Amino acid sequence: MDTHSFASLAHVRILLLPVGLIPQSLFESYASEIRTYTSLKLAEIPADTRDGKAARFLPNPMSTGYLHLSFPTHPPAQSQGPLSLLRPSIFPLAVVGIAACSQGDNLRSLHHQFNSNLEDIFPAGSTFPLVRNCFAFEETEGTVNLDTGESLPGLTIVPCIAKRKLHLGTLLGVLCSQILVEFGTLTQALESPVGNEYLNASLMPLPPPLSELPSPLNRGDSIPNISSHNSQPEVTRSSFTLGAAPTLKRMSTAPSTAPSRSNTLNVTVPSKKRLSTYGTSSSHGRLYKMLGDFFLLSGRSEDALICRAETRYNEAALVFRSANDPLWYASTCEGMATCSIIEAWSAGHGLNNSTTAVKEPWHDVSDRLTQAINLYQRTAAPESEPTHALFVFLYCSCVLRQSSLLFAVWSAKGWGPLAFTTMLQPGPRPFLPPTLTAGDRTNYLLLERLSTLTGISRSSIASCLGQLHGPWLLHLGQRERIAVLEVTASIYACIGYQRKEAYILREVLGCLLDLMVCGREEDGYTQTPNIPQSAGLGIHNVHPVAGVNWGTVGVRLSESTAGNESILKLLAYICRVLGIDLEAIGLSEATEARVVEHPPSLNKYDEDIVDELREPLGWPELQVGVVREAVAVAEALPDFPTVAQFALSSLKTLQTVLTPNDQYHLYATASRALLTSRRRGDPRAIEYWSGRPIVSISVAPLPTIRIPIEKPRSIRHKVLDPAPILQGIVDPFLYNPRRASDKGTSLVVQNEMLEFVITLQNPYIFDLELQEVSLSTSGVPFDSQPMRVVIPASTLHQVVISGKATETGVLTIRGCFVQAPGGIPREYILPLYTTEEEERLARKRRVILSESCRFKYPPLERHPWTQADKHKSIPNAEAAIGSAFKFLECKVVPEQPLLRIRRSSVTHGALMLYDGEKSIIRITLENVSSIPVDFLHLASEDSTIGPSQKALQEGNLSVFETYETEFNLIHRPVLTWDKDESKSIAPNQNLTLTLGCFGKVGCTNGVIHISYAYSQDPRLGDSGSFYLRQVSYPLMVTVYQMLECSAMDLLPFPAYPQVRRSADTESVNPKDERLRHLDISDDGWCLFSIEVRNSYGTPFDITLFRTQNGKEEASSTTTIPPGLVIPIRKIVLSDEAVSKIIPTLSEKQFVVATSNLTKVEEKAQRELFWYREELFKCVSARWHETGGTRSGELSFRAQRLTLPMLETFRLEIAQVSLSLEREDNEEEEREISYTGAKQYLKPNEFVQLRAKVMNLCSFPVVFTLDLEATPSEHLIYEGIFSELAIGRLQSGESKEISTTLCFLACGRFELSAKARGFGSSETEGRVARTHISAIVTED
Amino acid sequence: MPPSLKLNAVAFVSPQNHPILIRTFNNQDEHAIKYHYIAHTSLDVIEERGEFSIRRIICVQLIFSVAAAGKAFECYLGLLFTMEDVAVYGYITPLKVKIILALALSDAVVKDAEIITIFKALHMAYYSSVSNPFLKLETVGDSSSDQATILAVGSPKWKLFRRRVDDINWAVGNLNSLT
Repeated sequence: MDTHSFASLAHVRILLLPVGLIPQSLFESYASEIRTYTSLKLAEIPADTRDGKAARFLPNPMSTGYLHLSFPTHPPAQSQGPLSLLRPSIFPLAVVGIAACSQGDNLRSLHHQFNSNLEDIFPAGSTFPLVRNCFAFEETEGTVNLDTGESLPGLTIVPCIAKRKLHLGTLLGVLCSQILVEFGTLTQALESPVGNEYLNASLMPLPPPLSELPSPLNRGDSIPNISSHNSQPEVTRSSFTLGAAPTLKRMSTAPSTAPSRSNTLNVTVPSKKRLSTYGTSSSHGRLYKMLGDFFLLSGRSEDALICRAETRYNEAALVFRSANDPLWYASTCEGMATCSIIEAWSAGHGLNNSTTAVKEPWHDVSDRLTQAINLYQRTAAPESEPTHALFVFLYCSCVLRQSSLLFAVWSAKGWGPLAFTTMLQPGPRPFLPPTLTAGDRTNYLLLERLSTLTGISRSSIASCLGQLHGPWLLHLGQRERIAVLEVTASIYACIGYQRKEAYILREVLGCLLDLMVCGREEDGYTQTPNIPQSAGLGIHNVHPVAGVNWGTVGVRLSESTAGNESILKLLAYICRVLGIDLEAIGLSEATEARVVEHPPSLNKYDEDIVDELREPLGWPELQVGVVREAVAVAEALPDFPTVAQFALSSLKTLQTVLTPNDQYHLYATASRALLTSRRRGDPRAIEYWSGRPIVSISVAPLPTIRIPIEKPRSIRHKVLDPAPILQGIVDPFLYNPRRASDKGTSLVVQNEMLEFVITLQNPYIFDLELQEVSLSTSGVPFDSQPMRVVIPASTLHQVVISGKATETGVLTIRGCFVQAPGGIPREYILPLYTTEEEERLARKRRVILSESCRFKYPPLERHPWTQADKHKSIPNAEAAIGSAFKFLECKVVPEQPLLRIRRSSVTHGALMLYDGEKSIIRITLENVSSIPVDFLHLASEDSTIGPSQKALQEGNLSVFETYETEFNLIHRPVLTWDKDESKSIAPNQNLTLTLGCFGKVGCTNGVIHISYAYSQDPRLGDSGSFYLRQVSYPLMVTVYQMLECSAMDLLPFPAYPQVRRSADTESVNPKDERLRHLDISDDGWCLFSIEVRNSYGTPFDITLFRTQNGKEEASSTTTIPPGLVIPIRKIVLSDEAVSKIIPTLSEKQFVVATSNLTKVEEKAQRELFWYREELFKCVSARWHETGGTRSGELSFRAQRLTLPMLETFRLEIAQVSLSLEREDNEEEEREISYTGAKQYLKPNEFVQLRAKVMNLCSFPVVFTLDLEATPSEHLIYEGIFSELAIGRLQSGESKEISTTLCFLACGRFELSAKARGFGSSETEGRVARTHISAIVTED
Repeated sequence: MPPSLKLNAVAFVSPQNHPILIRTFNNQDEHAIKYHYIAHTSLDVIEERGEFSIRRIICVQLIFSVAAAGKAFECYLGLLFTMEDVAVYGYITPLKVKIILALALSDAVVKDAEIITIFKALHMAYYSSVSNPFLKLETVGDSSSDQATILAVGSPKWKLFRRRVDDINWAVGNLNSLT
């Protein structure tokens, strides 16, 4: 391509052309050999003065100048033909064909080919190239058949010798000398009047055709010229016809008004008068300028004044200054500027002397060029479009010349050899001085230093370049436009104006695409106007018009992908400058392999956090546009994987700024492109793109009957401990499945289906399709099938993946593999959020946040891809953590037996009980697995347990209530099980278990947990644990309270044996039967009575039992409603027994007494408690459904023992007995009159009243006795009746006192005695009483 | 006489080089993107002249060393470049908010003093708008909220900033026609 080197005006262009079947690599190597000659010393050019005349441009043998060569790769566009006289240097002055000649090659055919090639490239009548030659390179030494004697003109054989390069130099020298000779010929032609007229004929004259020249312009034929060595124009006339110069009519400066976007170069309306003035009326300004050009090209800047290009230019400038020919004047100025640089180069070449300090010499050059630019701007605009394009081309190259001058000086650190070299550098690639290397482009300090060194600010270069840009660029031909823009962009890039560069590059891209589209349209397949044809296979119906015949035939064009890559690179670069990473998602070979990293990469894992926190970058409005463009370009190429890559990368990076429509469009485009690329068999595939899709992974809870629980082996022999039942904080059950699953690793069973719940997220507004989601596991092999998932837009979505672990051991779930359609699977790890992990993430966040808001980095270095380099050290330090990730783990245990409940005796799982009822239920278990069960354990829970435990925990209960509650919990469970039942079940066998139930009011439901295991499993080995499974059987329980006890009472029950005996002779009356128990003959009994109310619909029989030590068992039965009574023996409990504190069954420690009772109160409470306990031990009641089968127990525990009842129940401290005896008749009398407790006496007789007191306590007590007789007024007695001192009696000792009394009247007297203990606190207030009745009759 | 100064567009760019507000006064929406590009590319020059120029860095250091030096360093960056039909001027506030002005290119002489006046007015408009305490309501209470607050000024939700900028434009147009 054209490089717009500064000194292009002084470059002799030689086009290298491959001839014949030369391989590209070979051509390149030969061409590069030739290209090493960038300049030839004039002295090396053979001054071939055969005829001694044509040496006008040939150097003197001693001249010191240089001829600068450049080797363009392309011939000039044919549209540039009109420039051939104005700017000869853009044309190749010579063409060198390069051919490889081997043994069999026919040189003649090569020569013929060369010539025909040339005819293709250059139009028939064109002036250039002046010289054509074909170099035939020998491939191996001496192979060439020496038929060169044939002397084909313009064919040179380059032998394969060691010094071939030197030889090439010589050949080039010869070639150049030919060129210079041709210059002479051309000049000669132009110097003739006709030639001059041609030269002045139009704005951009064409060289005169051969026919019109006075002398034929034959090659090698040198016609003696009139003024061959006298280049003074022979006519210097003042009669310019410049009156015909156009009046400068300025166009409107407003660009938008011009409908055709014509230029705003302030051009003038063209003058058309030139053509008419045919004759000698033309000035020689143009001729001088031409001569200057040719001298410049021939390197004659050093020669004598007369031959110097500058002199010619000055002459031309003189003429132009007065004449109005701005275009040529401008061109002259450019030539002058080039001249001075060449001069400076040759002067400074090798000398390197310092420059003068007064004024930077480049200012002059720059001023010249500025002048030229202004002149170009003032030039009249031609009418025809092609000329217009040439205009713009000249203008642009002038601007570029000035810019590259400034740039060269700036980049070379000032005016000096380096700058000259930069400017003179020819070649197909732009030359970058060593001060600017690619890496330093963004180094602001370096760029600034260059500015301060040279005094050229970057913005001045930029503003100079800025003149280039305008709507007039559209007039340029595509190729020139691309070249111009390309150079502009690269200069912008070099001065660090990356945004400008990107802006220009976008235009370059636009041009390229234009070319592409045009190219497609020209290939005859314009029938598919909808370029991009992205979705199809690229198959076009060849001629849809004639489609009738071709209907079924599709032709797929073989697309050339050459250059696609560069366009894509360009795109990516532009996007990067704008802050979009189009390659955020990689593109690589499609593979199904799942890569698992060990240890997992920290960076990859953190990527999402970094992404999430990344501040928005760049300029959203521009980004969106550019991204759309980029995708469209990639589609147009078409390069489908890249379309997908671009679309998805932009989706990922710009998600926040893209509108929903755009997002949807990009996604649709990407999926379409992926489909197409897969169909076409493209080997590339995109990486997974849509951010972290998994949010969480968890093991789906197993059905409860399948959960295995690990237990130590010792548990098999453990006795049931009441504590857990009471405390309730601890789990009330031996085996709680929920508690087991709380731990980090869950237990799963080998070869049983295992389910994982994966939560996936889709942050986008469209449904996201994942071709595959599968688990990434390590450890034990895991069988599972990947899934295809579509995640609905902007939601979290759960999927379940199931599989089987096939071996025992630890199964680690690292994360998930996800694969988008047409993409590459990628693993996303999901470590557990341990504290360290959380802290690490938090730290990472802080680091990012603290960085994010700073503007210390130059803005274009804020991109994540540039920052990544800077923070390299940090990840290294953290890399060790990567291995410390903790993952979800499952412990796979050996296969376990499985039981199910086959049947149970409970209908519909509902159990109906009466309060206190005891019944049994049967449950049949079946072993449905092939593994025996050898361990079985039952536990139960019911609805009464919870509230009781809660009450206990709250601790607001009194000691007494606490005891009751605890008693209920421990001794009266709803469900009980006989632990000794058979415990093994063979595979596929049944076992029936019997459970006892107890009706407890308030119980509504209960659960039976049956734990089982194969504890002797050989696979478990010696490990101290085994695995249990549990099957639960829930029960609905209904308990009816049909009997209510109330009003328990204990009554004193004196013995009336005589009365009873007379009454109960042979009685069958049930009531009497009941009363039979009351037949108590001796003292020390009391009567237990209770009222039982039947609140239920059916009658119940209730039996009251008495079991007391030493006494026969007795029972009392009734069909309620009536109450029940039973006499019970009074008891006394020892002090030790009574003074025990009320126990708590839970064995809680009362560190602080919860009660603040006094000692006395406390003692009373304990007495009440212990006597009540004793009472319930000896009295129990059972009920029986009358006429039914149900029976149960009646609980008195709700009843209270009151203090009077206690007094009744407890034995007195002493036994007091009274008896009356007559004084006279001693023994016999007494016997007779004594019936029962009644004594028949006579009035007015003295009788002895004997009172006997026996100490029943276990310790000696001092007693006093009070006697009383009523009515006391009819009775006289001796001494006192009250406070009779008995004295201290040892335990069991008795003492009798007697007193005499006399009944004064007939009737019934009641005598009673009260013995009081005295002196000690235990006996205080306890009174033993007895009474007798005395019936006094006359008879 | 046509106004000698015609504002084509005004751009406010945050310290992190995000666009805060790009206001075009041509009533032509298709031109908006052009001014986006102009503002974006002018950042190159601003970087050179302002933010990262050695002169400025030294200047800032001087100011911090000699507290409250007599002459404040220059906020006005002058003509950045001309492009097609617009001349682009730049201004950078001490807190690195960049204000970019696109003037219609004309033959009349543009005085720097006038441009500086416009810039100062724009700066004040920005300053008073960003002082709105309610802006912070929108942003999450992070440390990074500074930038978010700044960017929120230009969002369509807050109209006052736009109005102020429009007022300045109006004033510029009318003032010139009066004189």
